[in-house]
Amino acid sequence: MKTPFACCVALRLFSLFALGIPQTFGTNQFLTSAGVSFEQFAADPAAWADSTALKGHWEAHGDTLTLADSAAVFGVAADEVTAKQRDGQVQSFRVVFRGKDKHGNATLANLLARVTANVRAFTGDAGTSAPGGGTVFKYKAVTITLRSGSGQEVVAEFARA
Amino acid sequence: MRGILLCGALAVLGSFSMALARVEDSPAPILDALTKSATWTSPEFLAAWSTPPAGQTRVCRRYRGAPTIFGVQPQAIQGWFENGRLTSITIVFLDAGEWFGYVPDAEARTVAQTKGPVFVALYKQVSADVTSGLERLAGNKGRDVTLGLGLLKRTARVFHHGDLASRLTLEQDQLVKVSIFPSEEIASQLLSPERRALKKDQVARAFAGESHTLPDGDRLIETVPVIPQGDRAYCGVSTLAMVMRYLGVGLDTEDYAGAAGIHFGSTVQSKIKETYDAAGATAEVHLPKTTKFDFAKAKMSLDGGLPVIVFRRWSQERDYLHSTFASNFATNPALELPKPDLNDQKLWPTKEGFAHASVVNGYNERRREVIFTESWGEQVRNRRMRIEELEGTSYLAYYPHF
Repeated sequence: MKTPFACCVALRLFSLFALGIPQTFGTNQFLTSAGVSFEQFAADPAAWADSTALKGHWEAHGDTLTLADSAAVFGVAADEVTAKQRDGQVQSFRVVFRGKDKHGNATLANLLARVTANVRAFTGDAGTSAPGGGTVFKYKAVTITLRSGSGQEVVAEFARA
Repeated sequence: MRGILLCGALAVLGSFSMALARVEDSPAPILDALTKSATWTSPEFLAAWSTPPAGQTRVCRRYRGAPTIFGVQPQAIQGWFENGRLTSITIVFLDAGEWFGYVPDAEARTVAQTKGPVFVALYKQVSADVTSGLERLAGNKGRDVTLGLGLLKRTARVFHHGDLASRLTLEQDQLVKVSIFPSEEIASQLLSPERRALKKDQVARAFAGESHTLPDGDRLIETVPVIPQGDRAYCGVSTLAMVMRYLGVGLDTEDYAGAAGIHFGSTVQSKIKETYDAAGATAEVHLPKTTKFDFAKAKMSLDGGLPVIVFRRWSQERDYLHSTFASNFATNPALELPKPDLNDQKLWPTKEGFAHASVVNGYNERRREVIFTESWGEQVRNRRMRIEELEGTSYLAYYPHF
């Protein structure tokens, strides 16, 4: 499935000063294989309750499943997507974004604000303060909690509401 | 006179069977549509085109089949429809942008060196095959016509076959394209018959009537056709083609790309501004520009029913916000875009971002929003952005007026 925002992990492959952008570029393997963006998928617990039937390609490491596909989540290239499972049921998803400047160096500059703006646009919810820090957004049958992780990371956690 | 016509008709009839028998394995109705206008209204033929978007009067639809024509499988076949009536067919046999795909600036030289010679050889073959195919179909070598102004000035060859006509466009090592029209007279002109029938003051009035104010305060031009650019670095020329088609200029994205010198899939050293100037002259419209989006100027154009083209900085992340907002806004008009305060401004694409062109086809002054459409497909029609954001991220804007 092709969409204008069907990817972004391969942004670095393209000149930053190109005069025009193609209609699609890069790869978003999850979107291609699942036919739905990761955030749309993760917002529907009925679609991911059974951990053996998850869309996309996942690798199991004990109770943690790691998404082997590349994915853009909320329009931002995710560096790591994992699922926690218990008794064959997914309990939550954790998406990690790591900030990089144009030279590829780690930086948190605006990353949290960038992800937050897009989560607001996606959920239509302004968000409230989360108990352990960060901001929690309600959307359909899930909550999405955004917080700064260790180092130059931003973490988004999807859990049943 | 009648004798000449009859001789011509016999010659044409004689050549049909030869030309068609030689190349067409598939009995696709598109082959009939090259010579018979009656095919253009047949239900079977009309069913072969992509579904038209709802509510649009002037649309570009893609032919679903993959026929071989003149021994060549076209890259794309597009039909232009006005109020459901097919008015012309464009067959793109070979376009460098499609063949090479999007080539980043840094890779342009290498790609040209490695793949360029292959394409040049292909161009030579395809242009020869299509030219000879049309000559067989018409029973003659056609006649040359000079079209366009400035960078768009080209010599094309017009053929008459059956009760239809075609225009062959060859752009050296770039494009092989055939457009089919109902008559030779239409094939020999760039401005549409409807546009040519109007005097200057009538034209301005006619376009002003295309701009409507909706109950929610949107001032909108809803009839700008969307021409998907595909996976080509063609946003600047596709948006131009969209606006020029709206203005009645019968050129395609590939024509503007060729004129601009978008070569072997790369926009390096392309002449976009000069191509825009040439398009304005060809469309007989003034096309002033500014180096930053000016809402007051845009409003004047839009109120006059003339869409504005804006070149702006673009990022994937910000695009997500605009797309998501547009999708949610369709079901919840109470939603608001982020306020363009200092915090939001930090998230706008900067000079380090990609360059992109969009068509601004409306605004809502009360909500301080521009309404814009991308050359990506109907799903990205009428998106919204704060006026301040477009002013802050644009670097070139064109405001047509008569």
